[in-house]
Amino acid sequence: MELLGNLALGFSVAVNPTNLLFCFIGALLGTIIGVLPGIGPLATISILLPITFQFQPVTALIMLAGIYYGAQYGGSTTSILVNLPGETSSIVTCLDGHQMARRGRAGAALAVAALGSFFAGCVSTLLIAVASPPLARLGLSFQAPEYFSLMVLGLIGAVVLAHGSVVKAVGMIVLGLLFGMVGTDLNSGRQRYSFGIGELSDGIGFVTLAMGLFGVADILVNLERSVAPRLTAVIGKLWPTREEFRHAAPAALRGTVLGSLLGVLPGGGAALASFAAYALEKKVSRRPEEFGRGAVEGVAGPESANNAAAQTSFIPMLTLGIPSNAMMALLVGAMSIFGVIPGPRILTEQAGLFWGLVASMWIGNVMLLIINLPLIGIWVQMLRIPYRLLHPMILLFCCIGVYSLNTSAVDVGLMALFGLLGYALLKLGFEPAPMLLGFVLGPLMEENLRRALVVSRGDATVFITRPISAALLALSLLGLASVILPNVRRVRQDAFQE
Amino acid sequence: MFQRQDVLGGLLLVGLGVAGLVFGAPLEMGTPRRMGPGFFPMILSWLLIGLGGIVAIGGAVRAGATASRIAWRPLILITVATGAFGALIDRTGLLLATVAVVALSAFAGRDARPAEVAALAVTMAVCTAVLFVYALGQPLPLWGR
Repeated sequence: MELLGNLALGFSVAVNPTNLLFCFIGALLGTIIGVLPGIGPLATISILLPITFQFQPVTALIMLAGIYYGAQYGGSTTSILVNLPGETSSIVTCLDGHQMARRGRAGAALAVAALGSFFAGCVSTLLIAVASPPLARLGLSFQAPEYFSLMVLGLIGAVVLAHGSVVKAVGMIVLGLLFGMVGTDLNSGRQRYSFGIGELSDGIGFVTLAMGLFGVADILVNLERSVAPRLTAVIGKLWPTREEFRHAAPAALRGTVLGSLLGVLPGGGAALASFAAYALEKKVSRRPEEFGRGAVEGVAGPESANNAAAQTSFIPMLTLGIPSNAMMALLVGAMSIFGVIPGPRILTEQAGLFWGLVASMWIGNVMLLIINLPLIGIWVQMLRIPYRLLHPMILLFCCIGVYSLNTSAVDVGLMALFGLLGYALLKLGFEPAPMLLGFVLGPLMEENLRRALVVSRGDATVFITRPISAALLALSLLGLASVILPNVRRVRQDAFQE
Repeated sequence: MFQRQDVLGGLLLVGLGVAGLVFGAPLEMGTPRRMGPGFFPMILSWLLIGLGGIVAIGGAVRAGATASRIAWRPLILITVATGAFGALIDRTGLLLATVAVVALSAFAGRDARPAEVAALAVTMAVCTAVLFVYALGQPLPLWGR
């Protein structure tokens, strides 16, 4: 019954007219940027962050969260209609969603995606409400060694579940941690890597870093390829047939369960969940030959999974203060600007904010269903905006956003530098998202390492003699071994062949 | 060999790690029991050098993807546009900075049309002034400080 009381508190916060309005704005913006290829939720939230500083923290977070899960809805629209994923998490939706559209079932595919997402959104909201209090209680018993080991696990998890080279992903995290060292050392008061630039003595602004890496670098990469979406499909009737419904419902259920689990894991998130759900559907299906030719399960599963994961990834971020992906790292940064420190205490000290956010997610999902189904035609029209008009606007908003954060022109220059770095990294096959994770966790990790070593008088074995910390480190090692070992084998094989 | 993605990428990480060591040299290491300001940065810099080395050597030993060509036009124009905004915002204010960033960045693409760019730049200048300065009350100088 504690749950009902908490949810009642949450809804009383969330139905406040201002919060309702910004929940709607967030969901709407999320849908729009989800539809538009070339701008994702990371960049959008970075751009809008400075504007939210004059809001109440809870209002700001409700809107920013709405952008994130709203983008999961919008991203599927372009995948289905023009075979062009609006977001990375809807890449797999192209496979069967667009095939359905070519057969004249675009309306049904859109409806299945939206209804599946809605179902997943409701379940995962409830899951956040149920799972958070016990996790927060566990978190309260953690001390410096446990926190340090938990962060190691979080960072390793991001590596294990990332695609591509493990060593490169670890490199990105370490680079992020190093960028996190810039500024005044809190313990000694010494300046680190600030090169006498006043703006750097408080550290690199995480908005500056995020906008450079995701806003500016994305523009540079997008301008290299020429993307011209063609609107070919007719939407047709929205309601799925009974046959389609019979195939889609169990797939949505499986996708929700799988997505909810993958969202909580460190390194998990919407993109990973959608790929995993597609693979699962193909494996359990009695008609795997239909996949790639317009199987409705191939839309329902991944679309439910990405929405579920987008929402459950809030659980470790809010209750333990450990972001599981770049998006959550951005929200941790946003919250700390508002003076709200995510972690086990948030449930007791900021109960209104926490439960208000949870309740707003359910309300936001209802809004998204309305925004996406009856009004779908409007968003599709937005695809007619050519990128040559979009990219100058995106760059302009990045500039204004970074500047107005500290009214500092130096930050704009720094953003340009990080844009160049992000472009170089993308060109060389690095994934810059884990870098943001390292950047946010850097100072926290150093502080917890320092505290743990002070208490143990410089004895590093403290991390393996405390049971919870040892278990967390063992898990990290296991995860790392599982991805490195096959690699070692492959290298050997290559060597033998030559 | 130096066109290979992983060789270049690895060397980039090594370079950043070396920079971390060089510029972090004045910071005291301290002892594990009393970590100095240089303790954690030094660990990270060495880790970065090690990881970069592994990536670079791996790229040199195995034949891997070569880095694709750099598209200089967007790279230069977008960077210059961003720099122009930073240089102009305090001196001439939001309106002119907006025109500069929109006009310069629009020509980063290959299909820019001069008349359209001019219209977009003026429209955006008016819109940002109304939206950010009047509606949202952001502390942006319209005509410089």
